[in-house]
Amino acid sequence: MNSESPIDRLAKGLNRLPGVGPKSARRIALDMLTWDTEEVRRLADLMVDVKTNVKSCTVCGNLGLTDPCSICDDSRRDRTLLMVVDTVANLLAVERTAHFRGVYHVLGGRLSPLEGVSPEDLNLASLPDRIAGGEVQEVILANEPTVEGDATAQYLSQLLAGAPVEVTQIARGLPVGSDLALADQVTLSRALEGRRQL
Amino acid sequence: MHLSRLKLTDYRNFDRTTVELPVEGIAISGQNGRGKSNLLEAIFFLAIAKSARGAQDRDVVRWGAQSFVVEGSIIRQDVPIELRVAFDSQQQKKKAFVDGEPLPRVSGIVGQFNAVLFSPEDVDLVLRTPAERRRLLDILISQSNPSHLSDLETYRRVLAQRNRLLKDEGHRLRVDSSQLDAWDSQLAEAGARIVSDRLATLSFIEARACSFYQRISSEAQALSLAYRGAVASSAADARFSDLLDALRSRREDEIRLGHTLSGPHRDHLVFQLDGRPVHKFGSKGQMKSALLSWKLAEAVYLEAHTGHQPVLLMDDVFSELDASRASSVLELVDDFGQVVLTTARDPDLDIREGRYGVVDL
Ligand SMILES: Nc1ncnc2c1ncn2[C@@H]1O[C@H](COP(=O)(O)OP(=O)(O)O)[C@@H](O)[C@H]1O
Ligand SMILES: [Mg+2]
Ligand SMILES: [Zn+2]
Repeated sequence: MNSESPIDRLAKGLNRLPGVGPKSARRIALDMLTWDTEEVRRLADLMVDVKTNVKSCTVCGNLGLTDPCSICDDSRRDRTLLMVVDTVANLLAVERTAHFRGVYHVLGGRLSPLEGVSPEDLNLASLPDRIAGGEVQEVILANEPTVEGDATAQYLSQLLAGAPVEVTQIARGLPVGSDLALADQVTLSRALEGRRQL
Repeated sequence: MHLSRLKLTDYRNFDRTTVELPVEGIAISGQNGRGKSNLLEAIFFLAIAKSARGAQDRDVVRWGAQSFVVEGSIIRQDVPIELRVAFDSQQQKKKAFVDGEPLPRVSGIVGQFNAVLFSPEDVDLVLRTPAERRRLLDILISQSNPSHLSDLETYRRVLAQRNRLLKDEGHRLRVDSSQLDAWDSQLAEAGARIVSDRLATLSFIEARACSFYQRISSEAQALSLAYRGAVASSAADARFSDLLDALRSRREDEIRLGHTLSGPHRDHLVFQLDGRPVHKFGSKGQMKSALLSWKLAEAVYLEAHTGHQPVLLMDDVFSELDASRASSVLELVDDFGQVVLTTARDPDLDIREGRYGVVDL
């Protein structure tokens, strides 16, 4: 017997969104009932649209309408500089500084045994091949300044130890425990300038 | 520094209570079970945003209530500061405020208000449990040095990650330990700093605690504090690499057992009388005097390292003391700043003639 109301089912679905708890999910679901049907449909279409049209770049792991993504495809970007970031949100944060003209590699997470994230779960396999391609001269590690981000950076520096590239890490102008995506642009630009050899 | 007003809402057995505290201190008297220890625990909550007895936040909420609030008006060098710690058990959320401003992290309140809590009830537990003795030292250091707290938080997080890795991926680590290496340097970095802070603090405390012990106890034994651990005897600048070596040298055992075997979380702090561990050979009275000496030394340490006299919270100190011992403790305590003491006895002459006003709970 399925006694769950449509509102409950929608709330459950919304509850999957990051940062939305069961209470907020219910509040959003109830609020949606007051919208025009057209408005709701437009939002639903947008969600399906994103899912069908946004692709993950097979070169760097960035998200975009094309594969390779617009950054990998841009001939003006400096391919000798490769920045490793944890998430697409962090890539976008660095892009907003307009300070970095190289290309990226997006890991899609951080090492965290407590959350069951091991190296296989990250977009790591293609990284040595990208570097073996020969164009890359410097790999800049820009992982989050957290315990997990640091461990990931450490793991990468071990992984790249034999590769013919310079491995640097962005400086810690960033408050520890903070979210790279939320950092202000000045702080991020400074951190970028202060990268150091590992 | 002193606490001028304490306001409790649904904290332990108090639904709504406000206590005004004179600058020199106060004696709180009341029969057993009235909440004297709870009151001191609440005051200490303002110092570390946690229960001094290690209770869970939800257990501190008054039975039948949903949340508790501890508010304190502090005067620090003539500047009034309002502190507030609130916990809601439904949301499982604890928040700390300084002058009405919410802090980004609750632990950010540590260092705002310094206090030293002595309670004879805890003597056995503290002296007999290695983890409690480490906690004693770490709480003290954190009160004067916030970076110790952040080192401890980092260390605990890395340790939890590393232990999970050892537990879940043992078979794989035997072949390829690169994942373990990725956590080791962070663990050793934070670990080396923690050990260094602990040793520096202990050398300050030991001398003072030893002289307090002589004054409190009528016996001629010497109190000393021994710290034992993987890198306790390393030179300060070698602690990082020595800790890393200690981790590497026990790697096979760690993989077999599934947890981390060296580091400050395994180190030992031992109270000794004439070189013998108090927790093994000391009498009840000796253990009590040893911990009281440590606590008084804590107060000296905090004043020296923060520039402010901490508030002394003395729970039931006279419970097992005869009149002359009690008055000698009162005399010692006279050298400190604000004192909040509790007694289950009828307020006796010692206290009435002392500098403290007595309130009944
Ligand atoms: N969360 C709680 N809610 C209500 N009462 C509590 C709570 N925790 C402890 N108590 C009560 O507090 C009393 C003990 O207080 P305590 O401070 O130890 O007394 P005292 O030190 O004066 O002997 C006990 O009677 C216990 O029932
Ligand atoms: Mg008591
Ligand atoms: Zn790309």
